[in-house]
Amino acid sequence: MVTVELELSRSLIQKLRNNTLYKLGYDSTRPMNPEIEKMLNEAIIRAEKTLRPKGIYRILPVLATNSDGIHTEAGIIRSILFRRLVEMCNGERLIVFMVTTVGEELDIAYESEESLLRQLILHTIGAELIELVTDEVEMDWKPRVVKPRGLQCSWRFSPGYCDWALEEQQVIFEALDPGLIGVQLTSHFVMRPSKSISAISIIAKEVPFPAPCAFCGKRNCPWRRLPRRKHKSLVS
Amino acid sequence: MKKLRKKSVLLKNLEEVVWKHSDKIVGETLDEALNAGIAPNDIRHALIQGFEHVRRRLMSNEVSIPDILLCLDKVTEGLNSISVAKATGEGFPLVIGVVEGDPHDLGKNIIARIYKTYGYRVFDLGRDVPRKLFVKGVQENKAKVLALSAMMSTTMVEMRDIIQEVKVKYPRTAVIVGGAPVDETLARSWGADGYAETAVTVLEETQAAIGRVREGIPW
Repeated sequence: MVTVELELSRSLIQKLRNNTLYKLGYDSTRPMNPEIEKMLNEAIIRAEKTLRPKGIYRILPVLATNSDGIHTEAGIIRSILFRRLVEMCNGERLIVFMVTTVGEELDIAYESEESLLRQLILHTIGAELIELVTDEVEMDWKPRVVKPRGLQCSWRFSPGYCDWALEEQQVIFEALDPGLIGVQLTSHFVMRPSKSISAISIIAKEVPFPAPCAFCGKRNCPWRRLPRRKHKSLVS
Repeated sequence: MKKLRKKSVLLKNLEEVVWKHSDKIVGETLDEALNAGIAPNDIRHALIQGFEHVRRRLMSNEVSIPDILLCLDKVTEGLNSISVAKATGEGFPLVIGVVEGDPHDLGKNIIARIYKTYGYRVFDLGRDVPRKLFVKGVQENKAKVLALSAMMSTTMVEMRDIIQEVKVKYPRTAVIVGGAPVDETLARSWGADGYAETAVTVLEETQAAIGRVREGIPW
């Protein structure tokens, strides 16, 4: 099990700002109101000063797959779609279990905020930052485990998406000890701090698709990451 | 005549300070209006007109959500200064909350603020609210409207049970639902009286739901 503490670098903060602007609905065609820009800048500076994102991960082999799901030492991953992806992977198959968080400071700031605009800005910063943080945590294991061994890996896949029920968070929390980075599960399987991600990825010699969307025929899914038709060379 | 013109200018200023990018702050403009003897209800009306301006522009996608929230914050600042209770009188009592298990309350906060701005007497139960507290909230506050929010597909089904219980016990209460995983078809199948797709349309949807319940017209 590996824990990672992240520094918010200048380039990450710049990315965070750009992503937040985009998510708030601003781009080159829609300039930002100076009052809103001021609030955003203040919030980013505050985030840079106070947030200390963390991550924890562990890599375990796939023991078997069957109709129950994907068997690992930590438990069974009960997603038919992800199991189908794993079953199509060749060679040694490893599952990466990950939990990341931006920490509770953002929740505390949000809770104490009366202004709806500031609440929205904090919420958006948190949502964008946790994705960037999780990318960074992935960059801790990818160069050591995936690239040198000529392996491939899928994109991250989280409970609550596709056919993987939110209750299945438990298998990730069995594999890891997210309490070490301050992340807890509520009785409804929601993580606290709120800006946290739990996810898995599959590592193998050949991962034919980066996401289980390849096996899903659902139309108009807002979370679809691959087109419904046949895919080529999509694995990262 | 001169006094009337001054009043009209001050109210126009107040309306504009809500929606225009300006260095002026709500407090100063409001003080000017109060010092000129303008009634709180007229001030409230001007603040809402300013917000309406942005709400209409959001409907036509000319502004972003942050713009509308900035205006809502300004309106709230203004209403707080003139004492909302005095200015709004007795609006419909409305209970609002996020269902049990769901911690996402930003959408609910925005909707609650819009309701409050437009004169509803809002009883905000917060987030992660158990069913029995919703039922109790409706009973204790004689709620004309119950507004339910859920942002997760795992928690939204709780809405169905709340609606069923409330509609049996308090059939004169209009229940309106909203949230990312919900749509009109689901809302209808659960027995709700209305579905609020966005913050922009929630007022019209709520009025329509109240009307349907009052007239006994099924949705």
